[in-house]
Amino acid sequence: MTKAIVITMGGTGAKLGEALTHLVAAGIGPSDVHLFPIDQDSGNGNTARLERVAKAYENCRKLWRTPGQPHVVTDDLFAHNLTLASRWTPHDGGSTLSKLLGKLDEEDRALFDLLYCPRTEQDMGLGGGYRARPNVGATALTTAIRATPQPDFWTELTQAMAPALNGNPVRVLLMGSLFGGTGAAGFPTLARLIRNHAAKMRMGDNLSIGGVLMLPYFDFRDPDQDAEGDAANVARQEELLLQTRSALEHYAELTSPHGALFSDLYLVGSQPYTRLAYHAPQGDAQSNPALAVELVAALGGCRFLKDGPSADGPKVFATALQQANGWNWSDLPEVEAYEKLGRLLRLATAWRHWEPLALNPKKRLGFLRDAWAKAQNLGKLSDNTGPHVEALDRYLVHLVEWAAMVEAYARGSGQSFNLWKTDKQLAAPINTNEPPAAVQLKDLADEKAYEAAFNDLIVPAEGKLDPGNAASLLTEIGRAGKEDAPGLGMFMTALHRGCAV
Amino acid sequence: MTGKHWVVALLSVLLLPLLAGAVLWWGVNAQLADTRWLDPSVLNNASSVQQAEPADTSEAGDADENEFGESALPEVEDDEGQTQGNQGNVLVDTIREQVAGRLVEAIWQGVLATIVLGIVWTFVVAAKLPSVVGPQSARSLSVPWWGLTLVQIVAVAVLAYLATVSDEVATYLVQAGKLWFSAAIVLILLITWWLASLLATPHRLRPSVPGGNNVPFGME
Repeated sequence: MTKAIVITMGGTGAKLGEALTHLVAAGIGPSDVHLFPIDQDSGNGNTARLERVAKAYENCRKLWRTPGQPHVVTDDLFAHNLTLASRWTPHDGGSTLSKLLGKLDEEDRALFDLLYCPRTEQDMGLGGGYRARPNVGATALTTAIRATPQPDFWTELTQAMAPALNGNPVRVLLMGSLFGGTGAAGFPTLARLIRNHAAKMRMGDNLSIGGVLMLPYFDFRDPDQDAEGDAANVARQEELLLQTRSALEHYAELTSPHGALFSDLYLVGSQPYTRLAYHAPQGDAQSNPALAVELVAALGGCRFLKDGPSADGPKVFATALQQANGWNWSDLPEVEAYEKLGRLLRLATAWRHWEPLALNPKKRLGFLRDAWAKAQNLGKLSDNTGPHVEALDRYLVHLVEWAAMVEAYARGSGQSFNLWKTDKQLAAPINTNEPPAAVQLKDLADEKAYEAAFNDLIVPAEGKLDPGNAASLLTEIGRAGKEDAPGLGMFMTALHRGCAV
Repeated sequence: MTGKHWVVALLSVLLLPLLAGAVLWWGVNAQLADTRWLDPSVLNNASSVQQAEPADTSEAGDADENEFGESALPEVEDDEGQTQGNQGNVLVDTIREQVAGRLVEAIWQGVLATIVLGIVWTFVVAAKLPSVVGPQSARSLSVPWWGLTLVQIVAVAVLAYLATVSDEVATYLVQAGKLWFSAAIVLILLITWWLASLLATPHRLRPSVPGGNNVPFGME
């Protein structure tokens, strides 16, 4: 069995990891993923969100797919496994590059002074991340991994790669941005460390490394100089293109056929950029919205993890929208995305309506004699559904929030978005001129609200029939459930089946 | 509704009332074949002369056996002998024909009313079905169903009344204690309406029909 390892680096990498988590939940990509988030910015909101989402899915899957549990689904819902490793923050808050390197001899000191600005880089606090200085991050990261004792992250990562020693294929995917701090610093650095480890352990071709690199794909307002004392240390849009150019030249060497660091490399960008009308430099405030471009990138990652590296040597993949400024299902480089992601989104919406009907005792008593309730054996449902339902709620709400954000910010930046429509599920529209706040979802207990939200949710892909509506879903769950799905699993299996597009 | 739904629904609302009508028709004929209760004296208001006890028939020895092996109304012998017996038979036949005519008319009119209401119900269901998405909307046709049921009750009750309680023949039925004929027509046609409307309703909308969730067979 192929082992898939995903390492997300920095805030952008975390957002890619978030998209990938939803794809894995939908059944796209590898069937077993081990996710390692890395972020030096300990308070990064994007990474915190990834952890919440991945943890929610991991927990949800564990409860709903483990045989012996009182409620188990038996179709391909949540069939793919995801294991979330602890986040690795390479350095503590008080660390600086000078402190990490310790006392240097005269020659090294001169080199250090030559490569790193004494004022802004050598003693820059690393607690808030590498602040768009990959040269600082690369050295700091290498130092942290080579420290004694080795960090838990590295130990766990090398253990996850161990199946390659026994001849099993292991695919490592690094996800991050070409710009910014942690991602830009860690991407080539970590790839080289892994490649060296594989060579040392003689893993040979059993281990392949792929990469998803984000080129600049969004822009943001320049930081307010008055409000932020060290604003000069923060990434500026105008610097990004220059950084990108030089970085790409570097990556061209890393993917050259001789001694290639990456088996496959997915470079994803966007023109025009998705506009973020604010700037959040670091910490919790750096909680950027999920964007559609990240979905494309995550799909590329899934492809590498599932199908493996290209047979004819390292490749650079490219994708583009078929119509400028518009998102359609045909733009996604994975034909299953429509069926699988669309289905999961419909399930998330349907569940918000059906959950209280299936579980609320007052409502259940009234409906238990209905055909759907009898078909799904809800009359015999035990009351121990709490943990299962809570886990499911948590993950599915994350999914809807993510989808709503992707849609809102695409539309907010003037793009047409023809993948899904979540606006009828929102209690209040998402303000794309402000950092993303908690998405407020509408209560879908009312049938009219649910019907409107469900029927319009998925925009049919070109050449596909309209997906069934809420009425056909009721018919589907009115059919007898599978005997081998215990407890509420029978109902969930039927609901998932009825949500097919 | 799909084509299959339409076929099943229309067959239900057409065939079930026809079947019920056939059963009622057969039942009425079977009852009328037993003429013991068709005592013309009740109608002639001459009971003292013409009433004959069934027990007397064995003594008379001339009680006819009808095709069901039951005794027909005995002929009454008196001074005028055979004539009065013949007149009694003629009267019985006349009553039987009148009663049969009225009842059969009521039955088939009731069947027709049930069919019409069934077709109306089928169209109501077809219009509603696409918007039935959950338990609440599944019950949304409860009021229309009761409305049509009220129409059905009134229709068959009026028909039964006109057929059995409204003139001399009806008076005879009342006096002969056969009013349950009309009650049976009303009851059976109401049950037929309930079952036909239920079978014409897909499971999704069954909660709108009383007892609908208890009938396992039918359309999805």
